[in-house]
Amino acid sequence: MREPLLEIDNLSVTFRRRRSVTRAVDGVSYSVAPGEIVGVVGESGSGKSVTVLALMGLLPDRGVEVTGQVRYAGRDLLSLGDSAMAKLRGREIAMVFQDPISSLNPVVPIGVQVAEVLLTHTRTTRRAAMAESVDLLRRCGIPDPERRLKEYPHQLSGGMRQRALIAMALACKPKLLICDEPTTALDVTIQAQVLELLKELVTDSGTAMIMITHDLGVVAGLCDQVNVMYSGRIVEAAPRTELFAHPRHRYTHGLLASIPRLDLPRGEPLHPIPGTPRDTVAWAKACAFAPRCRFATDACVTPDIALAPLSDSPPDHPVRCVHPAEA
Amino acid sequence: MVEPVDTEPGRDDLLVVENLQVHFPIRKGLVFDRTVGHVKAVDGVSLRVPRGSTYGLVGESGCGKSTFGRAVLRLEEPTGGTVTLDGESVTGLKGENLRQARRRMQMVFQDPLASLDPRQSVQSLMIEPLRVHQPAPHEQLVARAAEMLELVGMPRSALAKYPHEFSGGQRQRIGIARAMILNPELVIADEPVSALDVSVQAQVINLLEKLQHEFGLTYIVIAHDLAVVRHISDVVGVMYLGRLVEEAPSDALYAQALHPYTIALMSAIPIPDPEVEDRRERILLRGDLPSPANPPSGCRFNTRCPYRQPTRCDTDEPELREIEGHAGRRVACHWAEQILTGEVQPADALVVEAVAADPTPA
Repeated sequence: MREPLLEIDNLSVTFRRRRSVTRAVDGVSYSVAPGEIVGVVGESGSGKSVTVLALMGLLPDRGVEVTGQVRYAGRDLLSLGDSAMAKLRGREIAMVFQDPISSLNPVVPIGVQVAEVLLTHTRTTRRAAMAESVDLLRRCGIPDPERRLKEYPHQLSGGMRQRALIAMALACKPKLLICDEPTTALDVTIQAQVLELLKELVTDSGTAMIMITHDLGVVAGLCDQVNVMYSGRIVEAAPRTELFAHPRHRYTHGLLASIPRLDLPRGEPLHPIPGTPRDTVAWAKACAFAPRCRFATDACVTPDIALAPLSDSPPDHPVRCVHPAEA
Repeated sequence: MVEPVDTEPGRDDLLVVENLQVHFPIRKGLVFDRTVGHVKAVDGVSLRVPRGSTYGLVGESGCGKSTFGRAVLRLEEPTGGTVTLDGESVTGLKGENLRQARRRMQMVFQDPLASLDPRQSVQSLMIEPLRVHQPAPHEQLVARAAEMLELVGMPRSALAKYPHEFSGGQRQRIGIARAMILNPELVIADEPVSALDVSVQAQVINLLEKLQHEFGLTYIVIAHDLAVVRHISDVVGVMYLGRLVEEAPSDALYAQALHPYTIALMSAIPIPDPEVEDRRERILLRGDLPSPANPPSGCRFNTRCPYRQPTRCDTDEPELREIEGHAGRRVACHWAEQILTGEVQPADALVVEAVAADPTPA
């Protein structure tokens, strides 16, 4: 095991509104080492994005309470001041968002937007930064980058915009790249191109990467380690081959049984998980998945079920379930 | 399984589409409203859908699959071609006759929050199509609406609520109930599950299958997710830039795709199994979809095709044709036979994670 670059330790995020209190992230811990891709899988509202927004310091101050620790190269990110964080963001930790059209500035040519990152974080001239951004765009697979440089986001296709966004994220050669559903808005053939690009990046430059997605297929092909989140907590974590070969938590198990697979014979009915991700209970009272779980019993109404390896699972495969699936 | 598309006698096709075209004019100029070209969203698609079966239409965004569905229902006026429903031409219908025909063909939309009026209660939404097409006393209509809701797995109490009070999956159920309430024969579902959470998608897929079984419905399911489409369809058609490039029974398609685009598309779809993923050969496509306003000459796929050959590809437009040994399948590629036998290989630079010994994933 390499020394982790980023360690998220018992991170919780609580949103307070006038009357309601929502715990979006509830004691989440995971870590990423250089050259490693860690996947975080979950449905909308599982807290997978809020976790990384919190560690990047991108959540609003008012009404949000973040507790826990996030250690990045020996420093605690949560206690860093705004200016120190601003220096890290973009230079050492970069993020790629799902929707490139809302992340890019619509009235600035993309070349300038890429160069801006370099001008902000490094000592360089405008001319050198523009030359560098041509190079970056080319490396990210944008054909004819000299011409594209002058184009505005609306002139690019979805795939090209996402590449431009990745080029911006890579501009300062970040040590940690966080991708939040980077390919969800893209067509599958373009998704394949973008994932290939990200994979190359990690292999070539040893970047650490967090990959947030709802697509188990993307995780299966890309990530070294997978964390499955449900309703703010990690319910199962394992290296990818172990996770897909022996899904133990009933949610992971159910999810895999509910998606049609292209490579298996047709005709098998799908086994959906009943209910919706909204049908949940507080972890403090019971298993949050219990209302949707076929195997739930009274034993599931236990506060704070532990995320721990099962008696018959490897130590690097903790599961938060009272009635786990057979190995 | 349903017999593949062919003109054999005794076939009972509910829907026959011949050479359907939908072209949108591109206009320019402030004073003189000139038409400077056309976006050929659908450019000559022919297909047949047997009664009681499901035809799946896949393709990437901008390939014209949604426009095709809308044109079949005459929600978009076709530029050319014919649509025949149960022996009756839909393309020529007007006024009252068109209105009557619409009862028999319904649509399920992708985003139920956008397609259901937020200010109408579910009851009002559900009985609206009945009031238009099958007027009856109010109580009867409400009873029918409640019955329909029950069929899609929603409680009667939903009638008094508004669309925003439901989750995405429940809203899609309401959208489906609304489409089914007139007892249509043909239902076109345009991306029925892509806006839903992964764990909820299977519920809606199973519901569509159940309703088909119960009412003998004929479906056209339009989606970008080939795994979903293959699961529910008997026959799958693959579209690229306004045209069908391949059509095959669902089982045959994954076993052996014939068109280079289908081969690349399938290799690009991630499969939730690391062992399969590690062994798989992935064929990357160059670049993006060309503009449908100005499609490439010859084969429309030739600009991105990994199997592109120096002759014919950029000059002759391939016909959708059957090839020997694969009856019931149609493919639009000049080199389909040679690709099948391995005589024509993809360009090396575009193949990643290649496993020399066994290119077909287990």
